[in-house]
Amino acid sequence: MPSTFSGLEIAKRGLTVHQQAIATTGHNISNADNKHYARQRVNFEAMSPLYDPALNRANGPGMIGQGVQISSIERIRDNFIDDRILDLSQEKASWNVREQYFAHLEIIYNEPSDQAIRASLDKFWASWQELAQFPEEYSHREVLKTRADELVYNINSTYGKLRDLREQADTEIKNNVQSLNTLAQEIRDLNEKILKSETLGDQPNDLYDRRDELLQRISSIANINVSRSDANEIFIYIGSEILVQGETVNKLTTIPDTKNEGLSRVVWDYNQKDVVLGNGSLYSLFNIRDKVLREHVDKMDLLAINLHDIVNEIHKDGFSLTGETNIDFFKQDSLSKNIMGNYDLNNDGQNDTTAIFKVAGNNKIKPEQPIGINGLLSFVKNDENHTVVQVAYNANDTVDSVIQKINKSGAGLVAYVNHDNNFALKGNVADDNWQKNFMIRHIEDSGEFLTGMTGILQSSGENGAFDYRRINDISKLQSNRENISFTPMFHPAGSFKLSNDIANNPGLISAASGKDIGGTGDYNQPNGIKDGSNALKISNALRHEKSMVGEYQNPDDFYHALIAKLGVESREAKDKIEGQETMMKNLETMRQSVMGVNLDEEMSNMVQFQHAYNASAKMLQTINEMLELLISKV
Amino acid sequence: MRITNSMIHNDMILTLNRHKSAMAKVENELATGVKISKPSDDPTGSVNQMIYLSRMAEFNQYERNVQEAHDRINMIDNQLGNATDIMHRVRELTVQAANGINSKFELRESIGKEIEQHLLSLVDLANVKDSTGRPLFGGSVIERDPFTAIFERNVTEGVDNGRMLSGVVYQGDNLANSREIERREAMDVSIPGNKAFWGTNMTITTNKDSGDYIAQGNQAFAIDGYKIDISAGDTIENIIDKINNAPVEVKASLGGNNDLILSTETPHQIWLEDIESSTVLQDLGVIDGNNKKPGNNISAAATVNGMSIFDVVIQLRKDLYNGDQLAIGGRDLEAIDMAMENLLRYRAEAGARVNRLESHTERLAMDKTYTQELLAKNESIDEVESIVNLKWLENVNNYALKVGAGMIKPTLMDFLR
Repeated sequence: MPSTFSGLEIAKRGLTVHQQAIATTGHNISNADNKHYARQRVNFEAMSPLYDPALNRANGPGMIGQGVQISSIERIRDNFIDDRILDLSQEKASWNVREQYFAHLEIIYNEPSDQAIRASLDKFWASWQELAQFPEEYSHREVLKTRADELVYNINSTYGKLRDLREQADTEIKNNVQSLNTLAQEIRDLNEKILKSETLGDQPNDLYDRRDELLQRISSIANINVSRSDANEIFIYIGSEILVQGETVNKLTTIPDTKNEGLSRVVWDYNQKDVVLGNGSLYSLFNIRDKVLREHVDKMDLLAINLHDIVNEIHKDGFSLTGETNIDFFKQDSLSKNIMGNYDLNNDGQNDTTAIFKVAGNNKIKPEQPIGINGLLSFVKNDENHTVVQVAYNANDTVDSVIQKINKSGAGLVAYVNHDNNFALKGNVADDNWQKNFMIRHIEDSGEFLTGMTGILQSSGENGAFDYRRINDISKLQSNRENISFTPMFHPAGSFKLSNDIANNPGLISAASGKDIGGTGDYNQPNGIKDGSNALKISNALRHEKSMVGEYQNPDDFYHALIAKLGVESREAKDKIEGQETMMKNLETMRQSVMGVNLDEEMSNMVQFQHAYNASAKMLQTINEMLELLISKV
Repeated sequence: MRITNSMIHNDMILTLNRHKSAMAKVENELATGVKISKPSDDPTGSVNQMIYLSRMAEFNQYERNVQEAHDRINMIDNQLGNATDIMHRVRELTVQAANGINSKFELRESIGKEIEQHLLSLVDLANVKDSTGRPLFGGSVIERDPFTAIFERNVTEGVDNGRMLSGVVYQGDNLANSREIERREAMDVSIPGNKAFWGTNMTITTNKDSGDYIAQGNQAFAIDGYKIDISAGDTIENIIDKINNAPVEVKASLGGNNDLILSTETPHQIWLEDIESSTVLQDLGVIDGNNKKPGNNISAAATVNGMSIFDVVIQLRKDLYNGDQLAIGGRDLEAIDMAMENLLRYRAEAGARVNRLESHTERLAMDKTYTQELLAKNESIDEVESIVNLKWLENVNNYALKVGAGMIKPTLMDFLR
């Protein structure tokens, strides 16, 4: 026999449950604009009916309904989509960084315009042409000096801006590490709270949402993997290392890297090992800083050192207005401080390296002349393993075809014939360690091409080979010292400038050629002030000759290729970002479709719950009236 | 699919943003008139742009070079024309003097005095300078006048004629003064005075027996700037052979005393030089060991025949002063004709160079226009297309706004009271 008041109890349950449902609807509506909020739903459940099959059950028709109760408040969310979004936001963040930095780079180069390096190269070339016509006029010399200054300034400042951008990337890396640590800490704190309420049997939906939001923010910084397989703990990995496990967190830290000009390295705090990054903004920043910007700095350095060498090489053979010769046009300090080109590369106080940038042979040769001898040249690549590259030549080859073979072989150097018809070899950018930039690594010839014919090496074979890993190896070279250029101080683009001689007295610009009287091997007799042929040679070497800047034929070619590559890469980043925005939008749409709040839906729910509440209240009233009637009649 | 309010909202914002950025790009294009402002706008286009701009800078420079060369050669042409006019007058006077009706006094006082003036103006003309103050006929020498006149007191047959021009020395050289008029295409913009102002063929006889000369070691010398290599053991015959086979307008032969004779085929000064440390010409007695600088370096022992245009006129004047009518009508007239012919030859050459420069100017102008056109095509927008694009984007954007406004507005709330 049921209790007199059992109906009241059912009505009361109806009231509280629907009150809760309306409150949850209100919660949903309030969070309608919260991107990371997953809508919640109150799950109703009928109360256990009377009576359970047991000995003490009342004797009567069974299973009397006892009204409703809340089984759970569930959040509606699809973790599969969440994980896809995590993946995509890593990738999107890394392209975002790339796009942003490439936009910076494009601003730095400021091409195509009339104010940047290309225009100053043009003007520099034209000034040599003018000087060739009017070599005796001071006015044209002043113009050339100013234009050269402008070119130097443009290269210096481009280099400086590239350095600043690297610093900026470094600062951003530090900031990213910091926010990653903060986020990891917040997740750990949330885990603690979540675990506590789960232990109490609750579903902390809003805490879950908050944690999912933090995960998404972390994933745009680093490539995290989230493992939800353990019911009690969430695992967050970066690579194979654990960032957060339940209530423990491993922090990251930045330490300065001496091998990379003091820029930061990111390591795990507890074991000081490098963090293995695969994607995300941190990864992209490293890529930008150490690959893209490094490459651009190297290229500016390469442009500077080659301009320096191309102009100086010819300039030193020429004669000034007053008949002086062997004057440097550009000034560049060399790495080595002694006349043998020795340098202490590993910084242990002992010289260990012969650092030379260019060596030109003593003998005059013609590019089209057949060489008539056989042999095998050996060089090494500019990589860590010093991979050997061999170039065979035979009697039918011309000097030109040997040059082509060398330049296509991928050896760490390039060959060309200079203005004086000497065969020359020039260093290039190093692939392994930037400190080894612009060093010729290894020259070896089994035959006579580099020895008797072009006059670079003293002797053939392995014993006569030049190798930069030995000191005093300059003695293996046959070339006169004025035909050898030493490797410049680090970052020639930053320190590259006009020589003091030229800066103070443009009369010393050597526009005139000279003659070699007495067979000294050097030009010692000027042709006089009226001669501008040396200026013409310089203008031709800058533009029309094959003077080789890296793999490119001349400074113009080199610079065009640099800008082309920049354009393509920047364009790629822009296109990628656009594609990823669309993908992200689609994923977000899918996610919102599941977890987003639809106001109409909530409204109709509200109406429905309100009615249910009203009905429960009505029922309470009805029962009340029934009881009243009963009591008053008794 | 379940649609939520934020989906509609996000969708619309994304679409509107895209329209806005597309419109901003077209608007920027229309405002600047160029479609490439950053390399990433069009990577290939921007590199082409840089190449065209550099090429334009080159054309501008070559145009200046050509203009300068043109002015200079034109001036040379004019001056040679003036010299020819003077020589015409000199020739007229010579013919007049040669016809035998003039007295000695007339020959000296009227014709001789006029000739002296023409001579002076010829020297002035040969030393004329271009607009930047460089002599036109000095070869590559610009620091001094190419011709130095020597004046001496002249006493002929007891009559003191005062200081008169007695000789003209060439101080220039025979090198080229060239301008680059196109990539690796140079043009000589000078005609050395020792060619243009030369009257008769030149002969050098060494007066030194070189029959048993044998070259010591490998040496080299240059004739008129052309390098001739001499190997160890070459005899005088070998050397003569080498000279005669060289592309110079000088022939060599062996004289009666086994001495070397060099003679020109067209009137000009022979330009001799031992190269570097060689001593071939010195050993053969052609050039003076003490004064090796070419030009006036012929050994004092050698006999030199051949006159510059000034020498021709000086000789004429001398003959006039001496009243030697036979010489005037004979060798003087002949020499004047040769000198005029030589002037004409170089005038023709200057004219030909002017022609070449003029056609080159046209070619440059065409190349420039062509490059300019490429440049414009490469960087400029098609305005019609851009405006149509802009209008189209505006329309699309308006629709999007209208539809969006309509979609966002009504919710269930609007219908609940």
